[in-house]
Amino acid sequence: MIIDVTVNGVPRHLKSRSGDRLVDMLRKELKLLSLSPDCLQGRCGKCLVFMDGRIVHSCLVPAFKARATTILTFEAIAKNPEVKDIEKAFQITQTQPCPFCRSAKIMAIFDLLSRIPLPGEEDILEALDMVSCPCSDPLGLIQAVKLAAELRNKRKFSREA
Amino acid sequence: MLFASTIRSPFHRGRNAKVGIDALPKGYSAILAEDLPRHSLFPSFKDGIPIFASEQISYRGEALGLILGPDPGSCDELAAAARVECEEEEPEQEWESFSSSQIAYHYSAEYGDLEKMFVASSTELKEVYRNGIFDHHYSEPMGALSFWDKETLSVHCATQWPDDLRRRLSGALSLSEADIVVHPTEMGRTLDGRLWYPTIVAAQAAAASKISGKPVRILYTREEDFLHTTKQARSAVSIRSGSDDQGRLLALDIVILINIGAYNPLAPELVYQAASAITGIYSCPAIRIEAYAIRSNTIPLGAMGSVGATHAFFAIEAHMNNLAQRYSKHPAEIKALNILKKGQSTFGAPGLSADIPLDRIHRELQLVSDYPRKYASYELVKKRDPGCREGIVRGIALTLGYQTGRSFSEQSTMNSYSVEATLDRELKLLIKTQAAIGSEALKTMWRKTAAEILSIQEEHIRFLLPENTHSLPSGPMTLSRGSTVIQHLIEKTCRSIQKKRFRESLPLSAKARTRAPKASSSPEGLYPGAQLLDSASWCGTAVEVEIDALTGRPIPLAVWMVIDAGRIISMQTALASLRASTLSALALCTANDFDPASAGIDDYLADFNLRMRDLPDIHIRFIDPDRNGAAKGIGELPFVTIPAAFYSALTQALGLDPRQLPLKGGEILRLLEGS
Amino acid sequence: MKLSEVFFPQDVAEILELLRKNPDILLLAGGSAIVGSQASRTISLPEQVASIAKVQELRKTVRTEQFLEMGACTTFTGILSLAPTSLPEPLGSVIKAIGNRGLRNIATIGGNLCCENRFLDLWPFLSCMEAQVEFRSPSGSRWASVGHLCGEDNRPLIPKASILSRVRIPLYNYDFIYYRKLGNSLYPSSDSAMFVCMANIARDKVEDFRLVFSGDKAFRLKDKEMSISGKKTSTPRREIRGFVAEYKKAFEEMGLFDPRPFTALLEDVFGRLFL
Repeated sequence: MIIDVTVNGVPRHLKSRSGDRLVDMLRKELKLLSLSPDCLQGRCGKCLVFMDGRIVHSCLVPAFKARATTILTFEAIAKNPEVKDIEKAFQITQTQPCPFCRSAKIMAIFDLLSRIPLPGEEDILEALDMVSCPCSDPLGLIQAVKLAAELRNKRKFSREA
Repeated sequence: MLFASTIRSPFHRGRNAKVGIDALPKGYSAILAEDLPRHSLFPSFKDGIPIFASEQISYRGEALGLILGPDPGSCDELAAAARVECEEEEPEQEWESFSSSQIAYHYSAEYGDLEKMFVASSTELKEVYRNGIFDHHYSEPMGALSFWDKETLSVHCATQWPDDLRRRLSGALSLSEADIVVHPTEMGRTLDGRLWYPTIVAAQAAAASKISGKPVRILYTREEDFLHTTKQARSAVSIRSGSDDQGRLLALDIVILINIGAYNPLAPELVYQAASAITGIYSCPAIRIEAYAIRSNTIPLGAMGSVGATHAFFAIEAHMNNLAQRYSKHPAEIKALNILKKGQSTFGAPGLSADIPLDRIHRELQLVSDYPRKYASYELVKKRDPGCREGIVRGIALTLGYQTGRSFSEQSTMNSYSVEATLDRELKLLIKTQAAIGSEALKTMWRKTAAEILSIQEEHIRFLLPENTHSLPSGPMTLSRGSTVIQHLIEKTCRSIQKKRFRESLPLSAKARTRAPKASSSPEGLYPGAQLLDSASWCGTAVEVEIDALTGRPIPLAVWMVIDAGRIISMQTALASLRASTLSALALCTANDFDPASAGIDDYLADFNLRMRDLPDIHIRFIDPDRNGAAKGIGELPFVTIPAAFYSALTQALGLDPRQLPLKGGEILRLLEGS
Repeated sequence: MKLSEVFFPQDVAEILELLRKNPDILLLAGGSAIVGSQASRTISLPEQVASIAKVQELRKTVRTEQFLEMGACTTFTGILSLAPTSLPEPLGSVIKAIGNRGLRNIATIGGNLCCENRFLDLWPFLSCMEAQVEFRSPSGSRWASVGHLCGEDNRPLIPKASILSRVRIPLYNYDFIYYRKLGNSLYPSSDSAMFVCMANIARDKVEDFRLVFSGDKAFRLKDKEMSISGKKTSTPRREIRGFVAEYKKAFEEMGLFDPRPFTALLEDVFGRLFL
């Protein structure tokens, strides 16, 4: 079947079969390689996308459910200044997610900061629960998120000022 | 490109496998053992290890062939639909009482007059300590991509030992080593789970690519990886100790059994490393060690974090804690009595040139963890309320351990490492090493080291894999190798460039290559590969555990580590790396024990139990981190100290010795009821 | 790969028409339970599937003084976005503990109640709260207690050829709420279960006592609940031990739960409820 969907701002007509997962359709048809089908259970987070503005694990979504939706992947949000803040925070705190979960962790933090500009520890933990790769230092990650929030707010505040 | 899915054996054991495949759709094909040359991938291992099993099936899930095709999902379905027949045999699952045919490797050593020392002992204690099977939780499931470029075979694979992979492919596929290019890909954290198993997957992809003439990719699903690839081996370590009236060790009679599953070409290494670490940091005048790698008809099992040493540290530290209980003394007291002193050695290693900084580690550890007070109060609670019905079920324990730049045993290829560094005119440094596949934390440390020596910016340092693996041969990349051996080589090459800088113009290159120094033989010539304690980093770890009295779930409350690892190059990186490893090590203690007969993806996911919100307080203190001298490895320390501390804390909380890790909630409640 | 026919109905009438033509059609809302229970690369689905997540009628939320009524396709995030005062205790915290944010963005209340393999987290709470569910089928519609989603064999019983369209939760707060999630996994697995007890305490008496234990199967002993409701909070310990023993015996007779955690939980809950 053909799925009409807007991916990263571009309307697409993607080929898919009923048993395909959204993550596979996006990788196969559009070569969006930031996505990885790994645990297929919505836990590892390596397939996180924004679907109609809400972050979801695309391995849990049958491809056909993407019909008439708007999908954003890491490839699109990577250009965002918010992502630069997060990357800078990773660098300053020397938090080094592995290459497999780096984009997933950025997606989860991006989602968090766009909802809650000044997140508390509980909010941060809730966001990071979406990506369960054990590669990085958990305390470092929490620090990095707090710093990313600070950088983001400083940047926005200075611009507005 | 073609995708490939694995046809797997539904039988635990059997002979002469036959695979029946219905007519395949257009574009799909099958490759079975009969299509390949009959060379073993690892001929040195007992009966060899095949690329695909056919004459002998050794475990349920063993690869019998591949289905190739354009769609991975359809390949999976076609592979699952294949019919497998064989002459089924009774599987050998029992391994603690094993038959001689199950022995894959045996090592034994004896030192001192054991019987005499047991006679002289006032106390004998014999216990068996068991460790379960754990998954490595790699960042990515196992896989390989292979293609032919004219006469050259290219293999992309996440392997810790690309050099060996190339050699194995050459032997198994009858190719010249020069015609094979191995591209090690990013791995994330491996915990030594990618030392040899990727070779099988890579050989399958390479063979399929050779036959089909097309690039072939195998990528396991997470479930497939979890159910069918190598895990930490199960072990049972029996320790019989004899000690004098003070608690000083006089004799140790040790039997180490490591269940390696169907096969593991590194079985000698596992046994060797476990045997060499089993006496821990303790001195004992008479020791006998019998160590076995035992085969059973289950998935291949092997290393986890420190190639066999984890099992040994777990057993000896737990035993020392039990010994302390027997003497009604503080474990710290018993350990201090028995610790190695300057000039003493473990089995055959050179004598220590300085005392182990145990006193200081102990003192600081007790101070930061409030150990004496907590230990005493939990003991009191236990006496007052043996069944722990009033709700407080807690324990605390400390253990000691070390990490050396472990030298491997027999194969010289395992001990060679090389680094090539080039500083260009723009003061940019390129470091070529197969170790470039190592962790980000290690790369940060190396970057800092090189930047410091050459006075250049860290951002100007890049790591690159050599174009071809034979230009810079290398043993396997493990945590201890990376943080000690490669660190040393990078320092050496950078110093060499720095020296030349005043005489010659840029660009400048330097190469360094090493074979890990083998320990000199002991006077008795018993154990040439014993640990090199002078290069060790030392660690004391305390773990406090609480048991949820309702569900029986053990919850780690806090971890304290006091570490003497020489100079710490980057404090932030060191702390981050230790905290991440601590989380993984705790996950081992609280995870489900992998049961090959009934495991499913749920068990894999349940292992992620210890989520960030359940993270205990982690306190890490380094002793004199700013001093001059060599930097030493730290990444393995949580794996060698935490399981034993966790287990001993659990023992205190329960008021009895559970004798195994991990323990499920239900079992803990049963133990509490019985206590 | 076996292909399925996928429909995208726009309203409930279209869903009912699909059900009339094929009573076995799979109604897929969030799909997290169905898709998440499969670890293979491709998802196995029945011959016909209807994707109903976007049907507006099934996403409406209505709050009156007596109850909160939600369309079955309301996602957990949608529920959590309601004003905290709109949600009876402890629904908010229970939903927040389900999976992770990504999953809660797609999982729906209807999907959570209609899982055929096991009882998921919401059922025991809604059962204690005496929630109602609306079923619509080509032949009409009916409201039933959430308890009817548990069959005589104590396994989930999801009516065929109908759609669970709405869930109505009484806005009634209990004085005593006790729940524990059991098992080694934070997510539904073979060893996970939920233990829930709710009651009111008025004039030193325990009223509206409810106790539910659910996992692969579910248990609620209504006659036992009635006999405990009305007891004084100062009921003698010996009598309380008797309740524990009766529950234990009844559940052991069903031979389904590991008695160790269960006994500990019963002792704990009765210990807390009765002073």
